Amino acid sequence: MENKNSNSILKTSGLSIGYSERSTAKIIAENIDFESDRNELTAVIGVNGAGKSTLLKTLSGSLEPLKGEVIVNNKNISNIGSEELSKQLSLVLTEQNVSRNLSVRELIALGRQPYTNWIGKLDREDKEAVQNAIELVNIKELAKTKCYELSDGQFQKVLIARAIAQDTSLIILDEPTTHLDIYHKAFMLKLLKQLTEKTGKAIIFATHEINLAIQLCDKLIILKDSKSFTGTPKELMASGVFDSLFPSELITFDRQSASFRISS
Amino acid sequence: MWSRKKYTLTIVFLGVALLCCLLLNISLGSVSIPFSEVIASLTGFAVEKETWRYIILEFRLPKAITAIITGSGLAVSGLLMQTLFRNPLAGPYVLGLSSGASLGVAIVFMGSALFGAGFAAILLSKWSLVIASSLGSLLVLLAVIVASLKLKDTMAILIIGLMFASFTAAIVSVLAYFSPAADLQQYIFWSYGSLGNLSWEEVSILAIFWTAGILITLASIKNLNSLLLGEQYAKSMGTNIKRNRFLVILATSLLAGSITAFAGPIAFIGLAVPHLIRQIIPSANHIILFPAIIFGGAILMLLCDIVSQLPGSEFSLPINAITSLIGAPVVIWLLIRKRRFNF
Repeated sequence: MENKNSNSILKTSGLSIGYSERSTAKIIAENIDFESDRNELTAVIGVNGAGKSTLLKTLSGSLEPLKGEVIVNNKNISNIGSEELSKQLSLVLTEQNVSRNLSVRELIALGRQPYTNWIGKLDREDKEAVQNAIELVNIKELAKTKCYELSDGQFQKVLIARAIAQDTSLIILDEPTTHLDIYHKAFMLKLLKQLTEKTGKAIIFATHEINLAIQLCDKLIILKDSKSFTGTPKELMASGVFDSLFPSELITFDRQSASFRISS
Repeated sequence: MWSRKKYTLTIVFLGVALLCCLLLNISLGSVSIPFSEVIASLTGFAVEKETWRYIILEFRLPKAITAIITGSGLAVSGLLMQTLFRNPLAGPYVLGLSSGASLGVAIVFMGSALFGAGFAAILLSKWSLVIASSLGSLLVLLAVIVASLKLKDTMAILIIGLMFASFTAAIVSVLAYFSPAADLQQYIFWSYGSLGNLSWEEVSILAIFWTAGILITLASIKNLNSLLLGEQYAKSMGTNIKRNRFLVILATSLLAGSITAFAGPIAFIGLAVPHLIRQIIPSANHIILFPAIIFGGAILMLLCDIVSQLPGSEFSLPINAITSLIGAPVVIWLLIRKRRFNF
């Protein structure tokens, strides 16, 4: 631990991810080394099946790493109990069986569970945290609405507000931009970027929006063919990873505009 | 969204409605007793006829208390199962508890055909049904709990519960096939459910199980709320999924198991009351739903009991038929009126 960075929120070293069934291990990606600091927005990018979800599951502690370790706030995640972890790491998931029969405020207030008493009563501090989260994602006018009345984009914001109310230094989001139109996709990523700046949190998310991610994110984790490439968008551009990310007869990387385009 | 005051008022209103239903239930029966005399019997004042006091205190009151315990206990069990499995079709018996109980009872009533006549004579004492039913439930419960500790996926428990139910139902069918008509009839009567015939001693045993089940539920409320977001979210908010699952199954078994043992497999209430209350009170928050469902279950059961004894007549109808006869139209009416299914 020679490089002791007090801003480091999430760090992996020699991480191999995948699933182990009985004696055989199915490796999905190997040797993942990266660090996510305060105020940093990190995108995990890869084609379908490259292991984005597996990586996020491993980073959030719901899947054991096959090798290496995940360090959250200078502590190995496998040594952090679930109650303690819930105060350091919050999640925003897709395709979950979330009850929409809750008001926006009620759903966000559930994020305070790690701090409330045995029956979940909100004290003043909890109510302030909920209000603060509502204001940060700019959904004040929705606070009293029932979640079943919301559009997908609005509901996604509510889920993000819930994660903010959980008051953790790290937020992990699994594909927060799916089901959204291009405007809302850009809006959502911009929102995440603003949140890292305003709150000092480290935010990591998986996405297919590679062009947006290159423009907005501080760091990228590219998963390809069980290898991983990490760094700032500029570093990755220089290393040439983008040039071979997709089959070149279909999609090429245009260095001038720093974006992927359909091959002509 | 309702204000906090509106939620509180609604729950208080349900509480008052429950008291009214209780009084109404005790006042009505095959013997007509003036209301003033009913109150006098309950409060210990002089009553015109001593038999009236006896009817009220030794027959109607224990039956009404049983109705309250059964209705509220089954309704809470239904809520627990619906939240645990995040499935609106779940009810207190999805884990196979009633099938286990019916197997125990079927063996008592119809086992003589298989094990000889002496068997029935030994078993048919006053408590035998309760014990057989409890043992049957317990057997299924243990199997489900062992499975729940091994399984990662909560949905798989639902399937295992259904499989146990089919399995035990099949054994009951085989027993029924070889049984004489008289034994079969006794079994059928049990399966209709019954709130009467319980002594104060039995009611107090039922009350102990009810209290235990309700207290465990109360302790699980926070975790139940986190489950509204799905298991992965719940886990990320610090909920211990396996421990919570165990507690919820335990509470359901204590409530539904004991009720089935004393009152038979009472249908519909457990499935319907949580939906009824959710249609009336627009919230999924268990802190609000829990008291409302206790009151709602008790009220519906008391009303069903009033109807089933056909006040003023000598006859009474099986309680199981009445619960659905009254409950189903109410649920349908509420759904159509609100045009929205809240879950």
